[in-house]
Parts: sequence; C-alpha cells; structure tokens
Amino acid sequence: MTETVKEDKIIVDHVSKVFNMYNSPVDKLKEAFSPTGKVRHTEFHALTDLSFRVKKGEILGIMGRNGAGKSTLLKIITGILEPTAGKVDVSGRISSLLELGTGFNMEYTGIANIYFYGTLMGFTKQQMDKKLDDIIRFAEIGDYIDQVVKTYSSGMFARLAFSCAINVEPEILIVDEILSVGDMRFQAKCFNKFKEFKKQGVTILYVGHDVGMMRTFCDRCMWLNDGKLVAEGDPTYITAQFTEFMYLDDTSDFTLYKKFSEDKQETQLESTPEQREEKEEVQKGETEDGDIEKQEIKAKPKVSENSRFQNCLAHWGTNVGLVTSVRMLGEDGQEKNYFDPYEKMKIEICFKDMKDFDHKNFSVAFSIKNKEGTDLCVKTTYDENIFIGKAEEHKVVFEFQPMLAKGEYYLVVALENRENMNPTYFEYIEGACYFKVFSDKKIFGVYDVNANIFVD
Amino acid sequence: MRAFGQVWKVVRDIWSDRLLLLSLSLKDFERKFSGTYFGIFWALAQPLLTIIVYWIAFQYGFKSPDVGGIPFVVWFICGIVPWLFVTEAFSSASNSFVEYSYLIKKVKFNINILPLVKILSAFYIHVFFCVIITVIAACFKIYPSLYFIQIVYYMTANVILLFALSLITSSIVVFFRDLNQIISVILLIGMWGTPIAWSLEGFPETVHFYFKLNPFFYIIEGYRDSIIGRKWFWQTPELTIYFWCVVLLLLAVGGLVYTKLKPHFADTV
Repeated sequence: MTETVKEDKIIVDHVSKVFNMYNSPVDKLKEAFSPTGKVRHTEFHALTDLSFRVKKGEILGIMGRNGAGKSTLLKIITGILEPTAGKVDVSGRISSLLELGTGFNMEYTGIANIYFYGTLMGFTKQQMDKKLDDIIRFAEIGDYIDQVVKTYSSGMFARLAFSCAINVEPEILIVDEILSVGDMRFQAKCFNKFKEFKKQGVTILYVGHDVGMMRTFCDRCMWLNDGKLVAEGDPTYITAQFTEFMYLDDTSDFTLYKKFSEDKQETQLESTPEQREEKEEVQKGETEDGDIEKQEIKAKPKVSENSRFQNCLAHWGTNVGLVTSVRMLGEDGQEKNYFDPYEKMKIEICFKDMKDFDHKNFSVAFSIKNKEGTDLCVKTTYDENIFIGKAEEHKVVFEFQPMLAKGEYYLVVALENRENMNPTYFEYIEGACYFKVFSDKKIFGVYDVNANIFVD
Repeated sequence: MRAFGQVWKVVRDIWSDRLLLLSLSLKDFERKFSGTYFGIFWALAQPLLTIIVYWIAFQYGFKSPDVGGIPFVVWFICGIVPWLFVTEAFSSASNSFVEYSYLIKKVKFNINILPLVKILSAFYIHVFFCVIITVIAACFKIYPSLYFIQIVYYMTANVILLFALSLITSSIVVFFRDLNQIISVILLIGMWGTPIAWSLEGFPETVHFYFKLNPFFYIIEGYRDSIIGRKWFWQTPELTIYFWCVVLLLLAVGGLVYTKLKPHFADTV
C-alpha cells in the first residue's frame, strides 16, 4: 500500500460538557443518592456539540477568550473530565500541561518531582534515571532543582513542568497557556522543541492568546466561544477574525463600533433588544449632526464597499467606510503586486475626511506583515509629525525601498485615533493588499540593510 | 451483582497499577517525615509513647490482671498495635482524594489506588511494630510459634477491610469534609468498643455476640492468636465467614459509591 493516510490521533465526536452547578458540595451528594431523583443543580454548558479530528504530527492551536471552554476541552481530551455527551478517542501517550502545571507535589524537591511525574506516566526509576539529565538541562533552573518546589517562582515551575512533559516521549502533547510565564529565551526554546516534535510526528494541542505564535507554529487553528466552535482552519485567517472579535467584544465600546458588512450587522442586531436600541441611537445621532458627507457614504451601495476589500483578513473600526482605496504602486506609478526589494514602492491610501475630529490626533498608518502576522515595518503619519489638514478627501502616499527578503507579504492599513496612549481605530483593514517580493540577490533574514562595508 | 462487577473492576485496576501503587506509597511514607530533623524517629516515637502511656495506666493504674496466663503488657500490645494502624490508615485514607487533589485535577491515572496508597504508607510502620511486639513477647518468654505465620493472613484481612471502608469514606469526604471529624470520633469509640485494653472475659457471655459483630474484633483477636500462638483462623469458622461477608458487602458498597461519585471528583476537590 502506497497510500499515505495520516493517522488520526485524536477524534472528538459530538462532545458536550455540562457542569452541574450546585449551591454546596453536599447538594451533589444528596442528589447522587436521592431516592426521589430530586434535581438540585443548575446547568452550565461549557462545551456544546464539538467535533474535530487531529492528525499525527499536526499542531492545532485553540483560541478563545477566558471561559470559552478551552481548558475544559483539554481536560476532557486528557481524560481527567468525562464528557456529558459524545465520545473522545485518543491513541497514544498523552503528556499534558494543564493550567500551569502538572501533578507536582509542592512539598517535594525538583528532582523528587521529576521521578514522581515519571512514576505517574508509567516509567520505572531506571528509565527516569536516563531522562533525568535531559529534563534538568532543558529546565535550566540551576541549583533550584534540589529545592522544594513550593519555593519556585512561577517561571521556574513552568520550566520544570514543561521540561518533564516533553521528556517522557509523548505522542500527544497538550499545552495550556503555560508558555506565557516563561521568558523570551525559554519560549523560543520551547517552540524549537515543538518544531522538533512536529518532525517526529508528535501531535500538539496548543492553547494560547498570542496571535503571532499561533500563526508561526500551528498548522490549524480553532476558535472557541461560549463552548461552541466558531471557526476552524488556516491560522492566519482565524487569528485575524479572532483579533477583530476581541476588539469588538470590548463591551464598554461595543455600541460605538460599526461592523463592516451588512450580513454581519444583521447578526449583531439579532443579539439583544438593548443593543439594538443603542445602535439605532448612535446611528440617529450621526444623522442629526447633519453630516452630509456621512450620509453620502451611507447612501453609497454597500456592494462596492464590500468588493473593494473583499480579500481582506479582517476589516473593522468605529468608522468603517472612510477608506476609499488602497493601492500599491511601482516606481512608475503603475499598480502592481510584486516588487523588487530595491525598487521604490508606493503605498497610496485615499480616504474621506473625519469630520469634527481634532486632526492633530488623526493618523494614517500602514504595516507590512509576513505570513506569520509579524509586523515587519510600521509607519504612521502621527509619529512622523505629519498632520492631515482639512479637506473633503485625502490621499496619503508612503514611498520607500522595501528591501524585504523574497516572500509573500500583506499590507495592513489603518486610520488611527491617537487621543490616548493606545491608538484606537476608525478603520482597520488587515490584508488591504497582498504582494510578493522577488529578488535575484539572496537576502538572508527578514530584510536587507544598507550597510557600508569596509575591508582592510 | 452490578456492585460486585465494580469491585472486580477496581481490583483489576489496582493490580495493573501495582508498581505505581508501591512507589506512590513509598513516596508518601517518605514525605510524611521529610522536612523534619528527626525524620522517621517521629513515626516510631508517637505510637511508642501512646503504647507506653496506655500500658502504664492499665498495668499500674487500673491494675489490670494478666489475661488467660498471658502477661497484660503482651496481650495489650497485640491489640493496640493493629488498632493504631487502623486509626492511622483509616483517617488518612479517608482524606486521600482531598489530599491528592492536585493529581486528580492534573494527571490522568487510576485514582482508586489513592486510598490504598495511604493505607500502605501506614502499613510500613505497622510492620515494624509487629517486629517490636515479637521482641517484647520474647522478653516474657513467649516465642513465635508456627501460629505466627497467620499474622500475614490477618494483616491482609485488615488491609482489605480498611480499603473497603475507606473507598466509601474517601469518596464521600470529597463532598462532605465533615466526615473526617466524624471518623475521628468513631475511631475513638472503636478503640474502647473493641477489646484492646480490656478483655471480653469480664463481660457476661450474653453480650459477647454483640462485640463480635464488630469486624475489628476478628482482626484484633486474630493478631493475638498468631503472636501468642493460641489457635488457627479456621478454628473459628463462623467468625471467619462472618468477617469476609462483611468485607464483601463493604467492598460492594464502596465500589458503588466510588463509581457513582468519581465523575464529580475532578470538578469538586
């Protein structure tokens, strides 16, 4: 058989988890042994009808805000919690780091805990003797290894836990946000280990909030919200959606934000009557201002707006619709989507004026990101002390030599409100344009620099 | 019948994890005294002191007479040593799921070995004290006879009885911590309700039956039979059969309670 069917290591089949919330633990006991079957709980649906598969050697990222059900899901896959409905099939040794830690005993020393963990994972003392050096070397906590674990800092604790988890030859590794406590160097080390594991065919489930990490390391990404699967697929796309959602989800500013597309707006409107009312008020307020410009924008057919940035990853902000066009031009002024690193690149952004806003705090920005979503270069008019005067329409052009290495990139364009320390966005378009860079000269690293080279 | 199925499953699980059980219990034993300067000394000092205090109080305070030709101190020690083990093992095993909550919440393994881990951890000291008993007995010219080997049988019986009981209590303690306090009261009553410091001979024949209903009566008397060398366990067949019926019943109840409550452990402890 030449077929190379990838083995499914984890099969989650219509899994739901309902937590019964009791007023006191005794109620649980009373209910379990109640002859009348009296119900003494209220239900909390942590997970609702979740199904997915994870293949051998795949890295699946799981995102979601706090309380979305990520940890519950991981606990069910690990086998600590039992699902209320549905089935989970897992094949292979699981090593899991749930909620910052494994089964460490606070009273034991680091060494004792390593052996203890090994015992739980089914290794003999002799087998653990062989792994001990690797674990200690990877953890890098020095002499603390002989100290009682309760004296550890959270970073040291995480290091040791992670080091233990990866050195017990797992076939499935489950990592729940543990890396957030490690320092940069340790994080980098962990991710290198992930890469190595991936080559060895280890399946990894990774829960995190760091969009960059997700894009860099995950093959696939899952977004959970309120125990339901919102979206699943390409990490770049899912994380962009998620970021947008997290901004919009900021409830204090919720009603100020206008969603981009009409169908999305409809789903928003369905939510709650209060929200609908508030939204209508905001819209009314806008029209009462007698702002002809805005009414004009509204009157424009939505379709054209939709199609303008159809390929974008995410599009949101308080005043979506200001940006009328974004173009990437070559030296000759022709629109293009592939560049030479040393050729002048022009980014032209056209937008409507933001009325009644202090233009001193108005900023136009662009950012070039790579596939992993890392900001490679960012330029804003505000930080360059360039102010945009009063006019109906504006056009801002950024001209520069990209000097980027060969590869695919995308452009983010934003109109920012810089009144506060952290910019907020009138409009934010992630993936306004996509382009490639070709070069005959080999550029190592991310981008080239103009270096004067002296040879003696 | 279903209950016995559960018991069988529990037993099988324990057997398959016997190595883990052993090393966990050794670790638990170690840990009890780690961080103290005198370490294992305390494990011995405390029961030893208890024994000495009781002995002096009874021998010289209450002037307890020799029992059936056996010096009171030997007769008493044969009773108090297994009882001290029962106290230690039962109270710690009942709390085992709570104590090991960090494992129940974080690692997947057979958690039903935990009560047994605590029982075994107490058992090591118990074995040592059984050696002390024989030494003291030898001082009074009572030497181990062939009967002595059945102490292994009584030890096993004791451990199984304790496991059955703690399977019930440890599962309930997760939800109802007060049970720990209730257990310590029951153990205190048990100490005096079992013929440890007093002899059944002082009571009229008619009430003997009620004392024998207590399964620990069988254990305590069994230790004496083995060490003092009085009789074999099959020479009291009614009591043996009764004891094992009680154990089986407790195991069945324990298995049922445990399987019923286990799914809630991880989100309660």
